Amino acid sequence: MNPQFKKGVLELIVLESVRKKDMYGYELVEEVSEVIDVNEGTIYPLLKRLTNEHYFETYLRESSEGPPRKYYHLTAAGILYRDSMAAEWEEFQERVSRFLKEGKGHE
Amino acid sequence: MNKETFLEELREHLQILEDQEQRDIMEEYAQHIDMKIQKGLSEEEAIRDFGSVKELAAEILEAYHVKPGFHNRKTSVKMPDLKQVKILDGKEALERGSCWIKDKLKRTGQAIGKGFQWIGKKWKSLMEWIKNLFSRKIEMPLENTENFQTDKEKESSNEISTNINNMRQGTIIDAGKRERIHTGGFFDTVRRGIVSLWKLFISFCIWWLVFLWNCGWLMFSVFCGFFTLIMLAGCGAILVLLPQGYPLLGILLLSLGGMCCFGALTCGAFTLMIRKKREESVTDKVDGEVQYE
Repeated sequence: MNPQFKKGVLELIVLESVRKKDMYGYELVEEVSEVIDVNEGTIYPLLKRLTNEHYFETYLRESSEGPPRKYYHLTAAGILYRDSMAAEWEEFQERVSRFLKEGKGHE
Repeated sequence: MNKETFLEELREHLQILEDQEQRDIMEEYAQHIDMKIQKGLSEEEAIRDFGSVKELAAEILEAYHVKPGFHNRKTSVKMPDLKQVKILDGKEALERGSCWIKDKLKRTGQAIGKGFQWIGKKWKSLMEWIKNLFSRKIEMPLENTENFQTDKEKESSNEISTNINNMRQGTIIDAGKRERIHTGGFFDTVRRGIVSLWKLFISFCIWWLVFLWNCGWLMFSVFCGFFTLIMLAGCGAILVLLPQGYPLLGILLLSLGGMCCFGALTCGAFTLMIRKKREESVTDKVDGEVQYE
């Protein structure tokens, strides 16, 4: 898959993943990796940025194995941002696919 | 690459971030690697999945809206690492340098001192020579008079002896002798007159020279003193203007320097005058002695 495509969609996938349930970093990476093949390292910076922009908030929770884990939770602003992004994505992909279909129809 | 080196390298790239943030990021990545290892991957593999550390760091920095190249540019002109610089070495070098400077300063100071000493000696000998030149001229006639006096004494003693001879040998020689004494007396008065005139002339010349010298220095010192006063007045005016915000600090320093310089010149001129006067009194004394004689 084109890395340029991935980069744009990754944010939306992460937002959607965290909306479903609060997750810690590794869990999230695994979840995202199921959807698109992505460099694991790049998800952490994204989480960091979304946290800095107050779409995520973090809290620590003890785990049965190893040190406490940092969980990400989507804030109200994050939900709004996710919805607008999802709408944008819908419109975008509809237009693109319509355009591609039109191209096919002319052939 | 193992976990430690990976995290250390990543931290190097994230130096620009706050310590708390750095620790946060390190913890996340460490946890991620640990979990991968738990799942059965090797350390190497877990880290390889992150890709290039540099790119990863650039992405993290992008999340903070930091220019990714900023840190690299900064590190390229970084100061030498303190761990690598031995402070004691610097201290030693400093001590060595200061010792060397001290030594050189001492030597130059000594050389300057010697130079001044040499100049002083030469000056003294020159002054001595000049003094001798004058005093010889004064003493020369003095010697003459002394010679004359001794001559006279000799002659008088001769006279006595001739008188004794007279008593023994007769009057003819006696008359010739008396004539000779008489002529000697005439020359003596002429010489005495010339000598006294010469002395007068010399002392007049010296007086005149001293007078000119003193006049010159007096005029010079008055001139310099005048300038000193002007500078002092200027300083006062500038000191009044300075607190009002005029940019006159440079001119203030200039006038202060000028004041000091002209003041020193005035004092120097005065001391030169006084020294000459002392010499004059010495010559006076010599004159007095001559007159006394």
